[in-house]
Amino acid sequence: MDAVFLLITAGLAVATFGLIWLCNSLLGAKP
Amino acid sequence: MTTNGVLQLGLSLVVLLVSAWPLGIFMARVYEGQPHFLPWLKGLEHALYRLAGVDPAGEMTWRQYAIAMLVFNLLGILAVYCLQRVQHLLPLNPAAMPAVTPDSSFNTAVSFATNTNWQGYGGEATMSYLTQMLGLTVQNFVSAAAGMAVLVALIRGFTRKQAAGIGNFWVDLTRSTLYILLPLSLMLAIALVSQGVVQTFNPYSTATLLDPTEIDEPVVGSDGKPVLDEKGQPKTQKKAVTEQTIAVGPAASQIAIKQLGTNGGGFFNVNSAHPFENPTPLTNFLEVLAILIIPAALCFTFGEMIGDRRQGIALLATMVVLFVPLLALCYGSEQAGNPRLAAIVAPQAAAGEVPAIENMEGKEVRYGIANSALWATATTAASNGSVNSMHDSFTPLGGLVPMWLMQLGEVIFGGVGSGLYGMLAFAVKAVFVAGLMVGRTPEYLGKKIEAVEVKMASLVILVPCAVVLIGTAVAVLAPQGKAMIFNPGAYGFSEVLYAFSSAGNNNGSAFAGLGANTLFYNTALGLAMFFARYWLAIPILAMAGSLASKKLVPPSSGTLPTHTPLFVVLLTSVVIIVGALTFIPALALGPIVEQLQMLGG
Repeated sequence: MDAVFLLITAGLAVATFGLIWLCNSLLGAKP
Repeated sequence: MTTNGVLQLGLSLVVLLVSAWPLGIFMARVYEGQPHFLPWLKGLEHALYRLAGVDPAGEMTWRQYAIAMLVFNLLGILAVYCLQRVQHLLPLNPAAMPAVTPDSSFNTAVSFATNTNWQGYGGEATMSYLTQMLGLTVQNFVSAAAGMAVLVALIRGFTRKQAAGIGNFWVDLTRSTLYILLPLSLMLAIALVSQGVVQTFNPYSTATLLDPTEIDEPVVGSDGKPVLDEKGQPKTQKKAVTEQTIAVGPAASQIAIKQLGTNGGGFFNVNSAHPFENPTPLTNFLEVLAILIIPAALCFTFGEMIGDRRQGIALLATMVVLFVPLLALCYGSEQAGNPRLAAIVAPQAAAGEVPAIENMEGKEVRYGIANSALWATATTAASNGSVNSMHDSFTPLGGLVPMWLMQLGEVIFGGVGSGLYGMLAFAVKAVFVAGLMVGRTPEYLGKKIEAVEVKMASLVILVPCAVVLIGTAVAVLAPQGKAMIFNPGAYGFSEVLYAFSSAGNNNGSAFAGLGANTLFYNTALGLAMFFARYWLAIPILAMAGSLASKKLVPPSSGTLPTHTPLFVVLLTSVVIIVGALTFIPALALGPIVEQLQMLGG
């Protein structure tokens, strides 16, 4: 079970780094 | 409502507003690196930077700031998770607590790192002293400091002109902790200890009961499972109880920061309804004040840092305008109680047949209905979540108030830092709405509000709504979710909605009727807390980066003044309309239908 929750945490971290990338793209796309 | 109750609530609010002002000015000086009355801590601050290899003058872009914040918090989650899993092998565990289960460890680690402090467990029956101090109390400090750091970065976004940097996360985190949270916590902890809050490393005490009693204890088989009788019910046996275990521990130090940092995770399971957490009316007053003071003071900090105190006062006024009627609704509902019961009892009480009764169901009986309602409203307006009464036992409308306060996004005072940055996202939205309605230029504090800022503000407002509503929908559909709803019908739905409203807005309080310490709820609520914290902080930091890179636009005839009562009304309306449109349908299935059922008998 420990591995499952560490994987979940890692998945959340990756998704959140993805959000940083997405926000950065939105900022870069401004006129 | 009684005159006495109203006076107590009014006095609490006045003391809050008066004491928030000097604290707010002090915090602005701390964040701007100006001289203040704690100069001797400067040496310690710089020693910490040297130790950590941080250049305090080094500016971060919003991306660097966000990554630093995220990595720091992920390491915190990992540390608290591991600490719980191995607490049985570590010192300072006089009650010999076993390792916490993986799902509860995950939930608690995310809960404390995100400043939520949802507790699916009972503190005194689960956590060792070391876990409480090194894991939970440390996170109480740093999660609060991280929220304040994100707010300060956003404020810099408004004040800076064509800049790439929004400050340094490590500096903001250190200053928040060293100059603000630690001194205030120390003062409050000493005040609490003086009133009788426990602070000790001694093991739990055992008392011999003056009046021994008997309980029905479930019979457990050799496999550790309950033995069932021929009807399938658990078999029980009589057990004489002659002793009581009295839980103690280093509570005062944790309670001080849990209130000041709007964390809320209690040392004891019943939080501040426990006499060792909240022993006197003075501690009750101080703890309520501590819950609200930093979020309120940050409004003054905001005004001071942007160089226009009126702007901060307008935001604080909006919070007060929203807070007071909801407090009155909660207090009024609880004072009135169930009108059908009152209709039966009142004539008998008037005739002297029965004593007059008040609606004390679930209340903190030592401090009365007014102080129970004040705490319930304050703890859910700020994203604190500690309780001194049982929200689960409130009347439907009395329980609706704390639930809706959370659902409004925890922006009415809100969490330390997170409340004000949430309110600033609403302010950006309000300026944008005003621009659409009356043709005003969308500007806020001299910065043009463009598509990027509106998209980021929308994310900040929509993410928690999505988390709460989707989470609730999944829980009431999934068998694992339904299995732990112990009350049928609308009330059971209210309990699930409350749980996801609490986790999805980083509050942490609970309707205790839901059995939430299960694999399903620990995981689902853990995910909700994570998204509600970091998926808001990151758009806020992106907005800060975007704003910092812009020029300052001088006010023109097309600029909407944002320090006036008109803007307070506009901002209040936007908060209410978003909250109402998003959550009234769900509330109609829970507390509103319960209220109608109660009135209909």
